[in-house]
Amino acid sequence: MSASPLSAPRARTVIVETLPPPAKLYGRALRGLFKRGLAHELPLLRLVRPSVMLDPQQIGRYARVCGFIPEQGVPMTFPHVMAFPLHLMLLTDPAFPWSAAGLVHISNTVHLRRALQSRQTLRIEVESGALIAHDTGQAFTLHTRIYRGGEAVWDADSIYLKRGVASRGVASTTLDPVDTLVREARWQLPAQLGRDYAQASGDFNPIHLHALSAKAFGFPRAIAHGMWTLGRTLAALQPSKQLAAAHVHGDFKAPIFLPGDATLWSGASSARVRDFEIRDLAGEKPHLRGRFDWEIA
Amino acid sequence: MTLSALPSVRRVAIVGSNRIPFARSNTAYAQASNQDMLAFTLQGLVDRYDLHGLRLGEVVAGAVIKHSRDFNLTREALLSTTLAKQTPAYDVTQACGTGLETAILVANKIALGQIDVGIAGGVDTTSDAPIGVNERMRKILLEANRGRSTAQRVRALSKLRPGMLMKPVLPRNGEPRTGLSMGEHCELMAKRWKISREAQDQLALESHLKLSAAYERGWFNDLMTPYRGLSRDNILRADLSLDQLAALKPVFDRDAGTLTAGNSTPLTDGASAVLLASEEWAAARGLPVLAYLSYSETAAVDFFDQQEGLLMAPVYAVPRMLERAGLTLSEFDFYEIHEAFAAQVLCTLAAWEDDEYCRTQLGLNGALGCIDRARMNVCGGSLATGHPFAATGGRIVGTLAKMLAQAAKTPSADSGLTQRGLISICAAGGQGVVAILERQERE
Repeated sequence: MSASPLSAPRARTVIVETLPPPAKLYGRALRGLFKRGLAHELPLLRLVRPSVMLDPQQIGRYARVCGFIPEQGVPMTFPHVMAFPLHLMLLTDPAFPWSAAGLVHISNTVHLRRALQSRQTLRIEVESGALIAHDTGQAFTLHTRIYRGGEAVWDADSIYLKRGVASRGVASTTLDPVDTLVREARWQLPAQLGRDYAQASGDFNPIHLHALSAKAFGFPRAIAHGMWTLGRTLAALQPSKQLAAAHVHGDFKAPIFLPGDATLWSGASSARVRDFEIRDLAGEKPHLRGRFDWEIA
Repeated sequence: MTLSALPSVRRVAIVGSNRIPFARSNTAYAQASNQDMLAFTLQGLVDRYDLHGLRLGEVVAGAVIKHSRDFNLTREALLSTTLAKQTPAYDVTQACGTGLETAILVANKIALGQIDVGIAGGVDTTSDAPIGVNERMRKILLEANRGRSTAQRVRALSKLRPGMLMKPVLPRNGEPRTGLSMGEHCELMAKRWKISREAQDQLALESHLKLSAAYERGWFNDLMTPYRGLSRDNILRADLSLDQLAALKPVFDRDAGTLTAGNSTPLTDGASAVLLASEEWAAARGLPVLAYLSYSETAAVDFFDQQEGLLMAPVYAVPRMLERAGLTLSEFDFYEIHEAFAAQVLCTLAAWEDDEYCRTQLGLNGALGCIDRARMNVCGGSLATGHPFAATGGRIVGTLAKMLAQAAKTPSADSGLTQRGLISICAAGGQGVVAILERQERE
């Protein structure tokens, strides 16, 4: 009953030579608020930025806000920032069924296959993936694949959730809690964190920027970017050395309200593997749960 | 003709020290100049050891933040004391290493027999700081000064704009090469060595508790002269708690930082001075020897191209000095590690305990070792005392010398045993100054 790969419909590939200005993308996201009744499936679309440089200045800004240091090399989660405009373009495409504004980022997996160096030129591809069943709505995957001179160096799966709609597809697996984690640190997240990370990452989703703009989308206060929380965690857990290869999976749980406190909990099942959770100050409610394993050059 | 014989090296005695209480910037000493504070501190030392009218070998001191008119700061301060006016003096600056470097310079001359006695010291104020005229205004004024005719001078001065008066040049606590402040550099070090906020706050709390306890037992009574209404360092918070420290926000890196106003040294005003002499001179004057300054070392790191931590130079200096002295890190009764930031101390200790770092960066066979934290900064450190840049070295030398003398007196000390103390001070520009003080018990 399964179709052979050859007969599967091919994604339409769009080469994006120059990115549309962020204001235009967010304008598209706002217009998307009035979308309704479209087909309950994702457009088969692949967006490609054929040549993007790993910009040292942008890396520096990103590293600083997440707490990475130069010794750690290009932050493992940084390429997500380079791919993010393509995510936004795909999520605001006229054929995309829902408004981008109400989507929730519920998990992210990143696979670093080769060490990245500042100023290298990369090809970035973002493609819509499978629909995923979820308790509270329809989840789906966006695949990001990054190549350097034809070699696959980095890829990621980002799972987003459209709440309040009936879901189809197969449910994805989430990590089970590990009960041997040890509290490592308390983080103080300042009120302007959402704006600082927005500047560094280009993710200006209003739910992160200010209490007022967050209220418009049903949050009592601004919430921290999930990808900041993941980046900050990796910065804390990664040794002060460059990674040769690494893999991380994170499930985003309850949002972290800004300003606020969070605690980092982790446990090592082996020397190069860490299970981790970001919890509230009391250490009871999880905000992020994940697992990180790596190889040093 | 034969070359004249060089003298043999003599032991250098630390006879005593004096300092004024250290004051948070813009508080008790807001109106005091470097010269006021240094002259007062020197006079306190002269009074305590009855040096009135004596001609000393030399007096050496320095200040990190200095007015251009203070080109002869130490000599001018000396002339305000009751020392013989025939005592020569000079200024030295090596950022926060100044105070210890002056002691090393005086000690070396004593060791070589060039002088018999000298005073080393340091002073700093960030309250009475120099403010320079705007850089463009300065160039215009110099151009006018060069003008040969009135017309030329008027033409130059006509370029002056009122706005220039509103943009003076202020002293900065930053590294010219990187544009980062020292705190930002230390944030990078804390991340490199994975130093937690909790560990930094704990070290800061202990610094305050230990300094407070030292005052309670009158430890500083013969090390200090009250000044301008202060008889204790006013940065000290005897009632400080971990909760109070934990409530402070990161100041150098608001999004992912761990350094706060509580676990970093505040800007401080103060001065210190140490009396060093040959054993013969001390004996002839009937003065006690607290300890001997035996070894010293300075080091610097490349914090720019190689991106070594800005404040990591003492980590390099100490093992070099230990090798010359034939000692290991554990053979000390006391460790005085200057607490520029709690994170700086913790990075230093972590680096010495790191096998790979000690082998690859320090060229050792393995980890240098760990120290007994109960022996570190036992009378409080810079976090609680404050850190008037050039005055910290003198404070530490004076305090450690007394600690060694006291330890030798206690009955628990084995007779014949050598008491040793290690001093480690980091300085701007990626530098570090370290020294060993010791005292041998007489049989």
